[in-house]
Amino acid sequence: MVDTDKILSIKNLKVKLYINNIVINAVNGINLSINKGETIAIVGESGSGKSTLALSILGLLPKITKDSMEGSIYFEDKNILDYTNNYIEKIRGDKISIIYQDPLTSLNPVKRIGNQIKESILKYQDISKYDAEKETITLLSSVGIKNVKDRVHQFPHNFSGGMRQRVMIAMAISNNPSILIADEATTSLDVTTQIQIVNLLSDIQNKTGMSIIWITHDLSLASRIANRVVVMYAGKILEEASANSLYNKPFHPYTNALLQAVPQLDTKRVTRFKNINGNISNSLGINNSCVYEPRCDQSFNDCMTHPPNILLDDEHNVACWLYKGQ
Amino acid sequence: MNQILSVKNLVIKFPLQEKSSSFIKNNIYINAVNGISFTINKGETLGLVGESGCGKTSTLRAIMQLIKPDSGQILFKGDDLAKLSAVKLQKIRKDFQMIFQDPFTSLNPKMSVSSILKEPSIIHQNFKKNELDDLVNSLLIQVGLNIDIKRRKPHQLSGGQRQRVGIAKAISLKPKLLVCDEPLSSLDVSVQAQIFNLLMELKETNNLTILFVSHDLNVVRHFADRIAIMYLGKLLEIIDSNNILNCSHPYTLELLASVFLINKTNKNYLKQALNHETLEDNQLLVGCVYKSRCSYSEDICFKEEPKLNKLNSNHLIACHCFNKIQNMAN
Repeated sequence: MVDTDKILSIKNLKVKLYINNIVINAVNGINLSINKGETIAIVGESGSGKSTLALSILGLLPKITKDSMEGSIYFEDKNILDYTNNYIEKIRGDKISIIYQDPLTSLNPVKRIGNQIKESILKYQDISKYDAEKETITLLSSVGIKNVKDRVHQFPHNFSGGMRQRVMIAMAISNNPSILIADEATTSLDVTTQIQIVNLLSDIQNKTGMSIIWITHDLSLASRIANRVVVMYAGKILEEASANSLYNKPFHPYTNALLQAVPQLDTKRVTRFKNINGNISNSLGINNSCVYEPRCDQSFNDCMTHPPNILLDDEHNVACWLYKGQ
Repeated sequence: MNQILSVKNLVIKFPLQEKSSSFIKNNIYINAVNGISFTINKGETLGLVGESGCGKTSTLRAIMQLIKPDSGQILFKGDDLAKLSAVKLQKIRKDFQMIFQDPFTSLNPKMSVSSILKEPSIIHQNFKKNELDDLVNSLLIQVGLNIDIKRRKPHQLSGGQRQRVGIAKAISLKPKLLVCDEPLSSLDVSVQAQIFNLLMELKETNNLTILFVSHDLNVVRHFADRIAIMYLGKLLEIIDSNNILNCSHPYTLELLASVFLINKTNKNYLKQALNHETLEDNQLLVGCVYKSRCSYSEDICFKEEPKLNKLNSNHLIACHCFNKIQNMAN
């Protein structure tokens, strides 16, 4: 890829959260870049730092102390972390927008949905209220809501879960963002609704050419939607590869174990799945060992220091000492 | 008798508004469950699958006698649960236990793990007091938890540990029937596999009969022996889970087509994004509940409600057009 295609590049990002005076390295040294028009899926269990990463791209994390955030996030050749809050507000919702997991709690329950969408249009575009209203109606019908002229005056509780998520999408794309972050956008929806939302987003992407960062814990979903998949664990990226390469030939023991733990409809019935002992909280310690070492069944001496990213080929990165010679 | 649970024509209605004023004479009701019948045999696992709002949880709650059904029968080992006296019901309750969806809200936050696990046995006077501690220890070992955990309170446990405590509580009275309401859906992938394996192990060692409710076909296909598909308070298809890929009801086909498979293009993938909202006031509907979403629907579907018919011994279907669909598949 040519460098100019890069729209966002994250370099050695570290985010520390303070809970009861204990420091938690929620994001612990992440390097990642996103190209124009690309869909990238960030997969991981809860507590792996995926949402913290998303929030730091949007500048939504509080800067409590000076060293709570290190590294850089370059968007349009400028470091987002250096921005003042006022400046980030100009980007957030305009050039980078987000869809949250739970559309009921992220919409304002006492405002009509039309007004909520209009608000974000009027904030970033220099148009009249009348035009914004018309724009809102086009947006809502483009995300597949019927009887828009009536529904635009309704409240979020009048909508079903899937329709609320469509409203959220309409709001997120209202200013033609160049990056859309979908933070578990379909997790609370039914399977039949999920596929509608996924198809809708890919249609919009085809039209506008935006990049999508899809944060999910669902490996099957990621395999279907993403060009590139990033596996996160305890604040680190363990494996990064094109979707094809990752699912056909996973290298990291964690990715392997995860893939074997996912039930699949079309495989033979099994009575046991391969499971990973322990859980992610064992791995949030501050020592220098590989973050997955406490749960890994292939660990050896080298694992006491965290492995660097090893480039296997153009499309495949893995952070594991098992592949140091390659 | 081989049947452990048999549900006959179960109907559950909820009023749309509270009858707060005497002026409201005819309250409007919504039929959450609208006449469903199924049976579970001993040692069998039945998976109940459907979208949110289709009445899965209401069915479970009625079976657990947490809500009273408006009509229909729930026979547990031949006894009609609704007709039992309170004393008898209390005695029989230990034979059917429930695992809840959300381990965060279903455990009492003020009680320690050991008192949570002791409570059912104290109520049913199953054990002598000095045996209770041994019981707690053996339960914790059975569900794969460390014994030290018993002094902790629920907020000091992780999601997976909490779900294990919920399972230990449910099996503490050695129930015949275990009713699980989406026990895996709030858990991470790796923890989900751990709990899946635990439930499988308990099922085999204790010869449990399980009613397993889930919206995730991927999980149910592996966990259940038979799968019942529910939509808007009706059962549309009951099928052997080895056979699920050969289902014929258009709704089951839609569900299958919506499931994402790792790195395989699901050949049934819906070509176009379907755009529909579930019609919720099913009381006003005549005919098949699925007709408005169905792409095969014919005139008869709008007039007459299809009955749940037997195709063969392991396959029941409620559809007017399944012949047409099967012919198209062949």
